[in-house]
Amino acid sequence: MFNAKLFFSLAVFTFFLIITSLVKNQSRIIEKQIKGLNINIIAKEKNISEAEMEFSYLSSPNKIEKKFNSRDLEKFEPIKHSNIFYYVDDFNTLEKKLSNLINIDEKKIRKK
Amino acid sequence: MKKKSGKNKTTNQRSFYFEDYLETNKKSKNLKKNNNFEDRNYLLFFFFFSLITIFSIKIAYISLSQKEILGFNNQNSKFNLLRRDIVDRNGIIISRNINAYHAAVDPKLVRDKKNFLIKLRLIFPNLPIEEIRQKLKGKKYFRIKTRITQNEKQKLWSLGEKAIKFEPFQARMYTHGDLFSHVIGQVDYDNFGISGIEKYFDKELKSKNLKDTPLELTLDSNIQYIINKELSEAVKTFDASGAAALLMNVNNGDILSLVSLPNFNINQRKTITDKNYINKITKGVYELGSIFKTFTVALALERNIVRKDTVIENIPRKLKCSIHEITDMKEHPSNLSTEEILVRSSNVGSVILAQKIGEDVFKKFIKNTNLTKVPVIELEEVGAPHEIKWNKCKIETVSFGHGITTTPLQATTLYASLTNGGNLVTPSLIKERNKIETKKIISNETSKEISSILRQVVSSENGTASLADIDGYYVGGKTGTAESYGNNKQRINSFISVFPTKKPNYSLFVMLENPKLNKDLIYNYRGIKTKAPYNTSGWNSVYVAGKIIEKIGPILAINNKDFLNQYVVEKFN
Repeated sequence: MFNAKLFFSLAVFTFFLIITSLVKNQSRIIEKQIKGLNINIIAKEKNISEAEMEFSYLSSPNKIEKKFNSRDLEKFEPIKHSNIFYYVDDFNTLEKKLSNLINIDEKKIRKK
Repeated sequence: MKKKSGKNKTTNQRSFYFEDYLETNKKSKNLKKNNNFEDRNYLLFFFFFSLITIFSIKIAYISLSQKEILGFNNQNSKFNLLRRDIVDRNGIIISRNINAYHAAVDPKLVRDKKNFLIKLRLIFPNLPIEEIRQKLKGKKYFRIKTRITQNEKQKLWSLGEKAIKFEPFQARMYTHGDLFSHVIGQVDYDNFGISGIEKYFDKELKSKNLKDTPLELTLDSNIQYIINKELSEAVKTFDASGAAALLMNVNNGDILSLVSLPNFNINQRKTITDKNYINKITKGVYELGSIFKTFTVALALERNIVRKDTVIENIPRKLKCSIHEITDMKEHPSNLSTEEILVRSSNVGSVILAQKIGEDVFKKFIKNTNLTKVPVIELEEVGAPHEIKWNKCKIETVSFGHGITTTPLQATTLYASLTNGGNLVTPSLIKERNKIETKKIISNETSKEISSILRQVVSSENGTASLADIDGYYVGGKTGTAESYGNNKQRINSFISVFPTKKPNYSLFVMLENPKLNKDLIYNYRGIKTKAPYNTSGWNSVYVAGKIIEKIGPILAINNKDFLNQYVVEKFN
């Protein structure tokens, strides 16, 4: 009565059926997760894109200047490039040159 | 015997053959059963194996080829921008597509039309309600408002009307408003470029292969803003009808800033018919006046007709040429060196030099430098200079910039080429463009001489551009005061500068259209406080250029270490 071979066949069938359904379900779950993540990514990408646009708009020179002027701060003037010294020695050398020139002028005036 | 024994065997017992047959039959049946079982198992195994393989492949495919599955491909992505971004040289966004909506109405779905109109009027008082009322009587679907903002969409949404439909579309946003209006241009509602860069690079901007890489321009937003601001102030100060400025890298022709005033907000679609709104730098064609004297002097030096210090003696006050009488605005000494002719901007001196050069050489120079051809740049809005008729007295007038027209872009390009060592550059707005072979128009020596003469125009006592002598930048340049071609009432005051003249890096063009004399403005002219005596470019365009250079100089120096180091070394030696 007991047919071992038939039983074995059915067991194999059931085993593979379960495995297949598991794999299929898993792949479906993963697909759904991917789709969900995809939607999130798109939404985030959109947010980033809009945030970048806003940043570009709000950090435009025009906006920054307006914002700056709206604060009651000291007014800053651009410093002339020629007045920027990178080393103290350079500043001292120039000062010496200037003081020498002033001394020469003073001497000339005294002579007169 | 044999037969008998055989007969006995058949009657009494099963034959050997029969038994054998039965055995083999049984065996074969068993074998068949076994084979069937194995076959079934194989089939089952194969079937499920195939299924598992298919799903495994699918999983592997999902994990490996992310791009297609994750929806990043062009078809599946909901956030699929139809046009590429446009950014400036520092990567700052100038234009980008965003998702936007048009609001439309399906009249069939409106239940209470009166109530609907009242609600609409409350939200949007400026809507043409009467027109909408008429359209509601029909059955045709129609738009009530194009390109609505997020706030407006929320308001319409809150009405809870089924009849209101939101049509999604992609709108182009320009974060800097009117700052780049003449360069960037606009797109229509279907994302087709209709002007400026948007039109010129329409195909490239829509390219799906380059979707993630923005179109990089040579323009600098900060410099553009400073120049735009200074020019706008100058328009008010000198009551000018328009203004324009162009900043170019003399070594490669990269345009760092292009401003033309009046400008307009490119986020709003409007039909502009006023010609004053053209791109004055590329489309405007002008008779730029004394700016051309530099070309005459450069040509005379290049052809060894004169040297920088060659003195032209007995220069007359007036010179008659055909029916024209050529004079100088100011009285100059009768003996002037070649350098002084340019520094003092002597018309008569330029005519004498041009006569020495000869018409053929002058013609060839103008042809080689593309001065009177349609300018080459990545914009559709370009002007065509008038064709020169080389009749009597033409070379004489052309020598000081009269009777010849060109666009500011071409004039600035030629100044850049004359001061960069003599290589003719091609202006461009695109950062990574294909390299174009440059041709030599003058020698290095002549180029250096021209730069030093231009410096004298700004720094010397007799020069016409002292107000642009900004400490530390070694500015050189030439002024041009002229009447608009074919319109004597229009005045064009322009100034082209190059800096630093010891090794020129940048060329700046500033032009004011119809400026007036500002009697209230007090200038710091060589340390003396004074008011403007004349309405010449030396008292307005040069003044504006000086203010611009003073402000953009530090930005340019930051981006260029050579320039910074050169200056620091120069200062302390």
